Amino acid sequence: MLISDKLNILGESARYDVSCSSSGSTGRDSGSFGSAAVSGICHSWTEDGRCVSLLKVLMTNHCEYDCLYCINRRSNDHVRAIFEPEELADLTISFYRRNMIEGLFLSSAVWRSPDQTMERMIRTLELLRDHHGFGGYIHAKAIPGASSTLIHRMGMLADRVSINVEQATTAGLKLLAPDKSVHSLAQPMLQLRDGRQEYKELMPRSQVKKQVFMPAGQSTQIIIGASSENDKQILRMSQKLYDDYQLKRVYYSAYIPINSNPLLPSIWSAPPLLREHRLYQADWLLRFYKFKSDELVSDANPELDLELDPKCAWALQHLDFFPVDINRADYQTLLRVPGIGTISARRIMAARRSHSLRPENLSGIGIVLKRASWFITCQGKYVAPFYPEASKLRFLLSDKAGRKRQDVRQISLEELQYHDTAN
Amino acid sequence: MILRIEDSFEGILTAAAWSLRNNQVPDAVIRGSDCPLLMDCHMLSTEDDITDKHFRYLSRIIGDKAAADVIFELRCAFLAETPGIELAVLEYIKLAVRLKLDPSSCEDLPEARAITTAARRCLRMSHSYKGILRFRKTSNIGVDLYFADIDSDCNVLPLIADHFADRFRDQNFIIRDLKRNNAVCHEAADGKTYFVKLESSNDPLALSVALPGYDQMDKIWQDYLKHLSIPERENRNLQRSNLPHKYRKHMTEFSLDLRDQA
Repeated sequence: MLISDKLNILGESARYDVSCSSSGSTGRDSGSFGSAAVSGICHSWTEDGRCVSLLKVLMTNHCEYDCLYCINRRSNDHVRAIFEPEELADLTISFYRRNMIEGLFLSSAVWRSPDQTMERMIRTLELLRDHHGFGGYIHAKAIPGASSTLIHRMGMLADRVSINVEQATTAGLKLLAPDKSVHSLAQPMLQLRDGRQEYKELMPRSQVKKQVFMPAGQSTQIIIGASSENDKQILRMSQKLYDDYQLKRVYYSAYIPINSNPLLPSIWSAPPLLREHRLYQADWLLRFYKFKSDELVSDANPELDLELDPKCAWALQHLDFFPVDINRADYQTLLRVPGIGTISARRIMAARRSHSLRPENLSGIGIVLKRASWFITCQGKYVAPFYPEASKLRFLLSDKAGRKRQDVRQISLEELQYHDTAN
Repeated sequence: MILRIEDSFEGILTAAAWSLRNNQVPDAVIRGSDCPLLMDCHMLSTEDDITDKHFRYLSRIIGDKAAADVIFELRCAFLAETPGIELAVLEYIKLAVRLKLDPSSCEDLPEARAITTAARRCLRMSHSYKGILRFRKTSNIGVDLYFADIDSDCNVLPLIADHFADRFRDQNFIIRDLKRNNAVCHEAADGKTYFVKLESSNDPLALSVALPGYDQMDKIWQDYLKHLSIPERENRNLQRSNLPHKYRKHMTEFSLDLRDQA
């Protein structure tokens, strides 16, 4: 099989992995050529609108496992291929030298055993780092169940390592990925977290920003809508992953029905893209706005509001918190205002050091007045043209996409079962 | 009063220095040799070390770091090639002196925003070009040479040259700016990077590498990207908003001749 054919097959098999980031890597000693940009760099965009930053491929799509949602599952009739480490290393270098990629994103199906798969992946990374002197970005997926020695070695070679937890609940994992256990997912994540911390402590204080072990940290991916978990369960899990496992990023992947199975949503149902979008917005609030998952979803409202972004939804439930004075509120309070992001909040704080902000200059600082004006005062004046009622405010804040796309929500398992019974 | 200055960043800083010294704001600042008919133009020769002079002046008032940041911000705004930036530079320096801080923190003020917006536009574009620039490999002249063309709206070449020189320090490359007829060359052997002014788009520097027409990796890359896209999530509007058509001209994956070969 030609290398180009292998690339097409294994690129296609890798496309459901949503991570594309090449950011966050600092301080790794660069090799004889190549480097990683702290902010990450996008190199192209595919027809689905997603950014291409890394050469995203699988080592192989031969799989011993039979996860129900996965295109590469053992029981699928699918063209299979496997890269030789030398082939993949050469391919990465050729693309990199033409500035087509920032580096390599290497994942794999489970070929023979987790250890044998990992050994092949690590061989590829060693060729890149040691033989070619490659200093570019590498994101590698660790295989659950692999030995701790191999996990550690991968952490030494890659900028970022990730392990996909796939499901937000143990029941969901058991049902859809019976070959994976919670222990096999959690153990390597804890090992990577501790490894990173140990290396960080070993570095002298003058080189504290230098990180030799997994400098860009670890991430994971959760599939949305393949089982019946709700947003509250998902966000609680994300919160735990950020707090306890010190993950840099949790990715959410709207389930695309590619396999037909009575335990999965119908193959005709649409991917829950709007729900995925809302989860990313909520995730942003957890990471950068100091929100807690319990503030966004509760037992009474376990799902995120599809019509409103999570910050607007929170603001509507806490109208007593507003309005806030743009010239007096502290940074954390400003972050709670819809239409004010981290950048505009920082700009407000910086500008206030020299002068008082005026209402007519607020949009110039990056505040989205369409949303923020209902929640702020400036120099003693309410910024919006009138005080709206709560119901009216909800309408004014709901985005067009939310209103238009509410009706294309993915059919839930319960609805599907009811539908099947009715027929 | 109309000031006529050299068409360079240093020329603009010279005009700003003149204005500060004379405590006078010119009606207009014109770059290059063109002067409006029947108007009295005062020609200013570019002063030596004018950037350093501005830096020293500002650092006495706002400190070294803030002064360096102001000069960098002004240089980026100049590279954005926004019309009318000359007087905005003067206003920005005056604002720094008046507020005794780096004016980039006062984006609500129009005098600051004119510069920060232009600078940000230029920096954003240079960041984009770090990703969308494509090298083609050729061995036509006896050594491996990587060659890329750009024609950006802002003059990003001075901002991206160091990035590529550091990243591809062991490879010979040329990046040619077709819009401004200049190029940056990097020689792997001695690690030197230098700028070259091309006389025209038919300059021998460009022709000597015989513009590599076909690189086998281009086709492999194009095919790979097609397989990477998820058909169920096709969203050309999003692709277009992230990567407008005007940026695709020199990107191999959008090259029509490759599609024809397919």
